[in-house]
Order: sequence, then C-alpha cells, then structure tokens
Amino acid sequence: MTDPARGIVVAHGRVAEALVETVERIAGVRGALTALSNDDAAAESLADRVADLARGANVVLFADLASGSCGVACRRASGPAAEIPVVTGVNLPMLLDFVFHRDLPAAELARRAAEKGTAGIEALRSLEASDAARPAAD
Amino acid sequence: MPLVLLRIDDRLLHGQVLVGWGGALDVSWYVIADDEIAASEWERDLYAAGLPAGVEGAFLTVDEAARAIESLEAREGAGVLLTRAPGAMRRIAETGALRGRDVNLGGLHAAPGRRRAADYVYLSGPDIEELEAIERAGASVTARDLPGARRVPLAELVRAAR
Repeated sequence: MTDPARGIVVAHGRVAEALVETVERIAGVRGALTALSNDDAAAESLADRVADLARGANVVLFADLASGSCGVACRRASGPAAEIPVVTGVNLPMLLDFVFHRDLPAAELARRAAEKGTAGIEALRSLEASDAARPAAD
Repeated sequence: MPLVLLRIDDRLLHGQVLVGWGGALDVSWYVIADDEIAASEWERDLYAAGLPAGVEGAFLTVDEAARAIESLEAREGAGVLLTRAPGAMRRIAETGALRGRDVNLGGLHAAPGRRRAADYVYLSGPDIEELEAIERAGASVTARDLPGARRVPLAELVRAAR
C-alpha cells in the first residue's frame, strides 16, 4: 500500500495558493496539495524549493505554464529521468479529480490529470454564433 | 534590428519574457548566453522544452554569443538575447558589440549581499560594478520588467540600493 499521493502546485503570483484553497473549499480535502508561487524566486532556487517539497513517494507536480519558470522548475525538480510526473496547464478540474484518487500511483494520477484537465475545457457556442451557423429559414 | 531585446534576468526564459515581451515584440527566437547551460545537454533540454511551439532557442557560451551579435542582427524575425547575470552581459558589451544599445535589467532576485533597488531588482556591490562596466562599454542599462513599465536608469537603481 503506497502513501496517498501528494500534489505540488507551482504557479505565477497567487494562482497556486488560490487553486489549492479553492480545491479545499470545494472538495473538503485538506493536506493533499501544496501551493508554491514563483514570486521572489530565482530560477534555480524555485526548482530547489519544488524538489524539497517533492521529497518522498507518490508525488505529482503541477505547473501553470509549460513555457516559463514554473514549468522549467518542475521539470528540473523531476530530474533528467523524469522521476516525478509533471502536469502543465493546471486547472480546477484536474486538481479536484486528483484529491479524490490519491490511492492511485503518481504516474496514473498524472495521466488522469491531463485527461480531466483537458476535458474541463470547452468553447461553448454563444446564442449569436449558433444563430449564425443555422441555415436561414425561407 | 532583429535583436530587439538584450536582457539580464536570473530566471532566463519565463512567463514575463516569453509572454509579456515575446507577445509585445513578436519574438520568434531567443539566444541564451550562458557557459553552464551551453555545456549541459540536460540544462539545454530543460530550457528548450519551456519554449512555446514555433519559437526557436539557441544556447551559446558567452564568448560565442559575443562573436555572434553581428550575425544575429542579420537574422530574420525578432530575437532576444538573455543572460542570467550582469557579468555575462558585461563580457559581451566589452567586445564593443552592444555600443549604442539599451540593456534591459529584467530581474535579479534577492540574495545574500544584495540590496533592493526595485521590486524585481536586487543589487550587490559586484553587480553594480558589472552594470557600470556595461555602460562604460557604450550601452545604457535600464530596468524594466515588462514593456509597459517605466524604464528605470541604472543611476537611480544604484542610489536606491545604497
């Protein structure tokens, strides 16, 4: 039996803090996620902080932007062999799924997170666009 | 002038650079001048993986970058030259390649020995010496984290850090 998985959310400004707090408020699950901001951190010290937080088994790293300091810090902390799974484009749907499936292995959780996070994105057609797309009545 | 930004930033390629400046200046390539990164395949892969699709990255030693400035100016598209510390940019400036150019100080974070000069710029005595050497080599140094922000001249930063 592995320990329940933990997630580290690494993001710009107060995004990680807000996401983690919101997940706790919606799901009622505390302690599953840790927020880390890139504010006031040089590139390598941010990666060191991620690596410190990620010590131990069954950890998934979540970054907001694949391009940029948070994504790079997560990949750096994951190491050349990508030992710790990294998921980019972090959003609420993926984190909400994560906190309810922490018994799964980290690699499986990362795969699920990418799937659930992507599934949560949809461009809803506005009424105007729907009308424009509909053939005009004779 | 295809080399549209010369920037010192200890985070190198990050959101402000790739999105804030990259979007405003329509940047299509980045040159990172850093001896350590140029020597490490893992470091090069790490930073290259952080580039948006369709944007190129080149990882040169500081000496290679200094020699390449003229050819970089002849490249197509808008490009950015990045160093993570003032010393590397000073070495490039001292070749004379940056005469008349503005060097952008985009981010030097707090560290032992450094004092606050702006929200995103902390300077030590040696940092100030390197930046002043860049100005002596004919380039101006101003701090600006994002394109819409005020340019803060080096003299003002130095006053604030002392």
